Amino acid sequence: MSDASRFVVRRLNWRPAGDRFIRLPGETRLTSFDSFDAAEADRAARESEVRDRVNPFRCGTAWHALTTIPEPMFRDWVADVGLTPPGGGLDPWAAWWAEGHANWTAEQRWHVWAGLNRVRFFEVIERPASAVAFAVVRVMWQYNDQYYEPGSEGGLTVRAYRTRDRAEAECRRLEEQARREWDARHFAETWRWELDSWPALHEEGGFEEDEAFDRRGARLYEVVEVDVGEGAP
Amino acid sequence: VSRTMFLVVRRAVQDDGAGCGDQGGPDTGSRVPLRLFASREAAERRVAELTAEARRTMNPFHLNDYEVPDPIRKYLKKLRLSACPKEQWAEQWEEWWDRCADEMTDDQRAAVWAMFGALVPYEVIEIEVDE
Repeated sequence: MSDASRFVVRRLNWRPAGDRFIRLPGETRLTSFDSFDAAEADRAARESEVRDRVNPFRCGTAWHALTTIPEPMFRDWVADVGLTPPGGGLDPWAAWWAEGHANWTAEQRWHVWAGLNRVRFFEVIERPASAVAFAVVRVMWQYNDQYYEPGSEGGLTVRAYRTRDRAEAECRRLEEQARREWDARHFAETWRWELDSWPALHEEGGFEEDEAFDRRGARLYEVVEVDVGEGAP
Repeated sequence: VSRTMFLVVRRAVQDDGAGCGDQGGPDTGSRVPLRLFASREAAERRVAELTAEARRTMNPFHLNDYEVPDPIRKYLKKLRLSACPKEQWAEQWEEWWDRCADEMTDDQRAAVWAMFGALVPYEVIEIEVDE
């Protein structure tokens, strides 16, 4: 295997908590590239896409979770680009963003995000190219007396592979077997943190089996790309 | 060819920050796989690093969604931290941490985290890896 570097894009662990998001420990490895520039471009595109959907003042439960800039100075920061800040407190700031951002210029929106320097959703890290493996994970579906739910994330790792192709093949085999044995009498909840709609403050609901698995992409098994640390062959 | 390796995993958490549980208990067994190691010692070192990092960057009260009991509140008072909430409600303590964490010393942050024992549970599991 090569000792060259790979540049890995990771998603930071923001979670919905009530009407806000909070950041919890951990990151999810999403994809990797040969060059930093390509990884950074991917990260920037993902960050931009999320910024189009998320109110940054709903990220964190207090001002210090959003930025290292004290709130009085942040008021000057937004005034520097011609915006009029609201009254103090996260809720007024969140309402200010919700009501105004669609009418601001791209530069003004970018400036506000730049000042909120603790609200970042993705990062790029450098890793050895050979330092990757692929875990096949069984999603831990649970029945809650109304429908099945997959849990927000993770599962039981059943085996790992050094190539994605072999992991995907085993995942497909296990998925097909599990679908044949699936109890189709009850609805399935499809909400799962890793799905594409991240991040969103979802409404929950139940779906028929075909809708859940075939259209919404819920899985009984998943392949998760993982780092390989020191001492591995 | 397969071999046994050591996988560092993080306990899966629900959207409210608590560990993934169900009506059968507080832990469904779900874990998020993070990094593979050839030796258990190396994996345990990584667990220690991750735990230290989590304690440096996150709010411990997010994982503690029950009331903060009297003995812990008394202990926090002894640390001479500023403007501690008088009530036991976890929500107030979450907000307090966000307000005050930047002003605490490393020792004070460590002392608060020490109260929470095994929270932020990273662990090591053995798995078979196909080469």
